Amino acid sequence: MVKEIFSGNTLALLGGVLSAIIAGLGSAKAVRMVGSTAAGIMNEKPELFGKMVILQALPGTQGIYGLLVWFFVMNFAGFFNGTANLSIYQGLLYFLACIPMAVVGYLSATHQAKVACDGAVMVSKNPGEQSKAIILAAMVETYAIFALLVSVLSIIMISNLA
Amino acid sequence: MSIVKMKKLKLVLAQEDQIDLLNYLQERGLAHIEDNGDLDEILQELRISPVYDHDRIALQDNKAYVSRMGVLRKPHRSGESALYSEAALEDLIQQSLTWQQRITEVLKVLKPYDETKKPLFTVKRETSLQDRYMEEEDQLKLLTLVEDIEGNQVDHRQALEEEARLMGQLHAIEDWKDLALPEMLDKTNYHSTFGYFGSRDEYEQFFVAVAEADVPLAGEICFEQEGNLAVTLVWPFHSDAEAKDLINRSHLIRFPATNKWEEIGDFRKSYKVIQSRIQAVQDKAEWTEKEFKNYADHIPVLQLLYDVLEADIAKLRAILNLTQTRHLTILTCYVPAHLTGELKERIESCFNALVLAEDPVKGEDLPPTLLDNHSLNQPIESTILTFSPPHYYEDTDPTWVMMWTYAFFFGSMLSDVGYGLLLVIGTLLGLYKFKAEGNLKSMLQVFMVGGLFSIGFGILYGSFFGGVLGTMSHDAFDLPVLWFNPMDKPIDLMAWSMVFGVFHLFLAMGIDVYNKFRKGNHYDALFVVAPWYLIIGGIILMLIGVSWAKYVSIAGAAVLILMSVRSKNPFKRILGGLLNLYDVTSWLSDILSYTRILALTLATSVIAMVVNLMADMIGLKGPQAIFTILVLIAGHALNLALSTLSAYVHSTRLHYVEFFGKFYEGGGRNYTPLQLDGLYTKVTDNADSVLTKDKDKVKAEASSRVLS
Repeated sequence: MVKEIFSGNTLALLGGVLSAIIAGLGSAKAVRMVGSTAAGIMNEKPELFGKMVILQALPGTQGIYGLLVWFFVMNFAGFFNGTANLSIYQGLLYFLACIPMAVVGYLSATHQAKVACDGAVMVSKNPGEQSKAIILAAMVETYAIFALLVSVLSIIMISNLA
Repeated sequence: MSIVKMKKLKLVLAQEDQIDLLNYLQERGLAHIEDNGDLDEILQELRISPVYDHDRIALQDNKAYVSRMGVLRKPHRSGESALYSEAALEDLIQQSLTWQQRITEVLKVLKPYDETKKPLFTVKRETSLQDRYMEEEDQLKLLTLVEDIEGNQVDHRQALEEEARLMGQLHAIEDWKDLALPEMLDKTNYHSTFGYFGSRDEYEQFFVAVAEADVPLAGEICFEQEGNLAVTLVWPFHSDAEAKDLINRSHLIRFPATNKWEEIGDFRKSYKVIQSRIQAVQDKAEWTEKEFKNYADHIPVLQLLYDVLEADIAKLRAILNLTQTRHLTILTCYVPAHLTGELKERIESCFNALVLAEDPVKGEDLPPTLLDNHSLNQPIESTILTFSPPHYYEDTDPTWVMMWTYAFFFGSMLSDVGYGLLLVIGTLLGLYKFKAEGNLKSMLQVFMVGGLFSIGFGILYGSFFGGVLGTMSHDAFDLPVLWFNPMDKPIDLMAWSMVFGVFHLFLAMGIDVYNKFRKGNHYDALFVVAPWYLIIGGIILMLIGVSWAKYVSIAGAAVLILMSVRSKNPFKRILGGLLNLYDVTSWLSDILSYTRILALTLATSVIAMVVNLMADMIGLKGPQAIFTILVLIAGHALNLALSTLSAYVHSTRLHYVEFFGKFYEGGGRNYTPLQLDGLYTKVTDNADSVLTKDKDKVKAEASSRVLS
């Protein structure tokens, strides 16, 4: 039993799950931040709901990227088809591959939320500037995308090692 | 596919023609009016006779043309001019803006009462030109209507507040309303009071004190609530002072009387009085609601008034830019060059005016930027203008390239036949059924073309709703993969993403080379920009294993190092060249940035796959098939929304940052001609008059009232 717990499978799953949890937490916090700002703005201007929802949705993507990394771990480590039998070393590699998405996902979501909040204030004063607010916030997401690529490509390459 | 050439027009016209000309220009919607600058300079520049110079007047705060409501009166009529001082004009603009704000508020109030069928997207109502020259009398009537609606709103709010207040009072005496005592008090000479003791102990202590003082005072517990004891106390007139003294020293919290019936202790009557008052305010609230419903019929004409004021404000701002003497008005504007001849002819034949058309001078004038593109390419113009309008002299219009590269990258990120189809159908509905207008229309058109590209990529990748057919049929059938499956070969897709990126950047550089040639800057085009084709092209060929390609890169780098800086000092030349070569790092980051295509493609397809797997777990057999279908619909709808947003955001970013970074100057000025189209209405030749319709409605209502 102890041997099974401290196995490569556990480490790989831990990596995937952590990336979903940490990036998801980041997105949850970020979406909450933009949501609160948007709610404050909509007190005065309820007609801006459509524009605010888009800004609020932006930092939610990192959570999805976290989920993607979990999915890739499950798929390439063989959890889905029941063939997962990883050595501690392999499991550790998978675990390490998940770290970029977990850490960068959390931080980029919260930082993106700050830009999106400021963007929401900008849109409340000038609704025509929505696309600018979206693009400014999207700039921050670039690094989450790179982290996703690092994690996903690493997972694929690790699976080829076996 | 170009920036429209502009001519600078200087119009010198008789003062009495001023408003007629502005009206004409506003109807044509062609002239981007500019500030004339200093009066002396312009008179000198145009060599205007000193006779007129003597004629210069002191513009006064003449408000003769302003009605009680602050509406422009005479300038609407021909043969008039607006000889206002700047301050007076600013004041007029401010008043019109205030009215617009009030109309907006009133329209917001009326919106819930509007029972007409509303389209999905806001569509501008068509109005006749005649409506836009609304008579002063009609304007004043409508402004009075705005005041009436505001008054009704105040009444409505007050009634609701009063109702809430009275309901509070009613609730407070709810428990006292059946008190038997008041009937007795009516016929006797007793005093009474009502209130609360904090506890039964306090009540008993009070009566111990009453007994000790020997005061004839009776008490009755009405009810008990959360430990508080509501009591009524009665005493005869003759022991009033002693009783009040005892009460004041006790813990009794007296009940605050809200009307005279409560003061004398008759809660039953008081309850009835409050109830009747509530009924009255409810009736009033109902009546004001009914009034709102009636006022809602006037929404179209109020929107028209808003736009009439908008046109007035535009005209007043134009007047602020004019130069005026007692007899002359001088106006400067930019007009598309190909329309100048016709416009000049019309103005000179219809007005006492002289029109001087000249080419704008680089360095002195910066004409506004108007883009002219084929209708297929036009939709992306708004995305370019949002970033920054192209510079009139420095830029080449990138619309024709960007429309297709944008749609290509959008499609490459969404890359699913099913999602592409839904997007195309949705945007077609928006465009042709719901008749979207303006920027929304452009956006839908871009998404539609992006959707078509998405279908194309989906066919290449064999992706239909993330492989729903294969998952649900357990691989019995699925779309064939014509190119490769991104999930199986992500590295291939990453390489292709960067190849797409290199082509995109080469295209941008091509525009830069063309632009530099166009401006006569052949040297920079050949020795600063073009060597990058060799450097980057060579590196890519090297990566795919072409051995001689390194010489191509080296040749490009050598040209850049030796030729890109024009200096006779060889040290400076080579150092500058090396610094330019350092730009290779920005190329690297730009190309890497395109790998987001892989990330977003994977995101779209993996989420779709997860949805399909969830649906497959529930299965299609038996009644649970309904849940399966619901999961599929909700999951794919959510994925489509999120993936479309991502594809839009990141295609825009790839263009704003990477693509524009290679050639685009921006910093142009938007072309904003004096024109009539407003926020709610647009002028068309054969539209019915909104104003006449409204008047007919008012008449019909009045006659039906008389009849009834």
